[in-house]
Amino acid sequence: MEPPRAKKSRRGAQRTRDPGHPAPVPASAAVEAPRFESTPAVLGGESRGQEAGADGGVDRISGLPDAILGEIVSLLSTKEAARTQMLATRWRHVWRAAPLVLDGIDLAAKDLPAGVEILRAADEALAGVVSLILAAHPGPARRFCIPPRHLHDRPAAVDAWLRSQALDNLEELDFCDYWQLRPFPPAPPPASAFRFSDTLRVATFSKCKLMDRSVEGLQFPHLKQLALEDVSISEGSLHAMISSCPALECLLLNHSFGFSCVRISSSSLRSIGLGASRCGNQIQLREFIIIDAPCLERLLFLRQSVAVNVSVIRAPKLETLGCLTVINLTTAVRNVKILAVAPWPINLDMAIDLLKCFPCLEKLYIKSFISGEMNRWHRKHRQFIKCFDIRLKTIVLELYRGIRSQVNFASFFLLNASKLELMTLAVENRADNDAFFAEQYRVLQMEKRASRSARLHFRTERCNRAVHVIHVRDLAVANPFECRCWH
Amino acid sequence: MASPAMVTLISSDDARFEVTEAAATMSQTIRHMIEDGCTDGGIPLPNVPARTLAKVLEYCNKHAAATAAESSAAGGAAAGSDSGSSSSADSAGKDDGVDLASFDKAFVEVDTDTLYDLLLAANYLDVKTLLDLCCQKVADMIRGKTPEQIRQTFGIKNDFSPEEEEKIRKENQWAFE
Repeated sequence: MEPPRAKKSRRGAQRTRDPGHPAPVPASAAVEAPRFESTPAVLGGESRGQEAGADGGVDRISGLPDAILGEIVSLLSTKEAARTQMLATRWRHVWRAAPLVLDGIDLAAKDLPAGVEILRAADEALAGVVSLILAAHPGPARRFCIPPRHLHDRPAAVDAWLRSQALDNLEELDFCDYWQLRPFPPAPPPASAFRFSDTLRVATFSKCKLMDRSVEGLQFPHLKQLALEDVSISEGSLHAMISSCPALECLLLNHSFGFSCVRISSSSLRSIGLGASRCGNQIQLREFIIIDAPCLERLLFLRQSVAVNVSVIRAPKLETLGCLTVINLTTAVRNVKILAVAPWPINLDMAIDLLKCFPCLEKLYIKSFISGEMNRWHRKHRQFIKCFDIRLKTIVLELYRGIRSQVNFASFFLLNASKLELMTLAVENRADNDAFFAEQYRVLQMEKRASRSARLHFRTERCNRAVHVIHVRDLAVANPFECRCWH
Repeated sequence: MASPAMVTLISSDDARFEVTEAAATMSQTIRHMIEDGCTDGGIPLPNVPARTLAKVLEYCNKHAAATAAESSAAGGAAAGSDSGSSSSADSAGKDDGVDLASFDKAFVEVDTDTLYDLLLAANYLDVKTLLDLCCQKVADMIRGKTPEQIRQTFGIKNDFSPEEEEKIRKENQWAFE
């Protein structure tokens, strides 16, 4: 909360600052309006030039303590971090003293021509570089990321990497397979992969087998984010693993198998991402039950090609839900404020049922096509409009083409949702965009909208992603339905 | 509204700043001093000059207020009465995450000298999120540049002999490919 007053006083102080004589303290000290004298100093800085060093200025960055320089270096990509050794003698040892970030995806050769042999050679080269780095850096490490095909292709080398001192106290272990360049049979990670259980904060296992004996008895006291993607794990081990993570906040369980029923009881989980697909004759997820998750805020469904029964028994803070393809909620999750749905197709009656089912709804994302029915509502839903308080503030309609059924659908919300702030219509880019937008303003009766502050926004960028979760860290983002592809 | 607890901070050049305890204790260093009861007559911060302290406090005030707004959010939507300009109401709670992110982004749009001062102060005062923010800013300034461009940006003098430079390059050939 920043009152205009604070801004004003800062501006007023611009040219009068004297560090020795701070502005007098007014008697009525307000929460938000401390006596800032910051602006003149900040503005004054500009006179020294934006790039202090550009014109032979003083090198102050090299005067920062090692710990800070190390922190900066460990935020860079693996190659860029190592290259800082070249800057000057002051920087020669910073990389080695900083926590190691070794990201195999960052190191991998980009834009290779297709071909299994070329990929194999590139992987061979990558493995050589990983060995070099682990030999050159004394550790400890912050992040180690390597595609899981190396577990299959060179298990002994991976084991040696994981044992190296450089990876001591590892915080983030990432066997993620972003590009799935070529198929390979899943292999179990070596026992050395689990020697970091005490220090891990983020762990991603993908395309591998987690054996009962590997995870048995392990504790992950600091693990906050865990992803299992394309992983084979037994039901017993999965439950044991989840309950051995007392700090777990984000759980991504995607296309994994070997278990049919998952029961979640966790006092720390804040976000769950779930995806399920058919996987041959493996044991397949059928039932997902949230028994008790007092802190759970988001329950997200990623690409799902098989039906999973999901029930929520107790999740009082669950406010973000979706993307639902089948709307059949046996358990009411009435506190939901942000919802994404993609039944194919959707009509207005279904949308109104959603409003009844989720009375607190503030943001609604409709990711599927609005059907060809007419969606007339004036008479049919007269009663609903009269007695129901629509709290929606934001609604996003994908695949909008402006056909009659869609116009009726959209105008229902524009003309009746009195709290509406923004309606976004994702449309196809066309030559006559402006004419189309103007026409839609007219047919949607924007001048008669129920909320005077409601805005209509047209988005022409295409986005096919229903839920923006690619890595487990994306589960920590507050609203995963808002498209971030174009920012 | 009851007036919140205030503390006085004294910069290295003897400027006094009165701030809420909530904002001040974003600094672990100050938090410990308050816990140890060393607040009488103000808390001296001999390593932080006034202009930097003011900037740090701008950050702490914003974040402390956002945290307070978040925790009291649930019930307190209301009060959106038609106050004309919507921009002034923006910071009052809704979508605080977005608001705070853009505040942070603008906050570190400063000259490099100010950035170093902030880094040193955030380190000394132990304001973790501010330190992370400033480190990230410097990392962003390094990203995508050649060593020579980085030196230029920060005024770093290359004090290696050509032989030494060649040796380092050879040792880390993988980083230059």
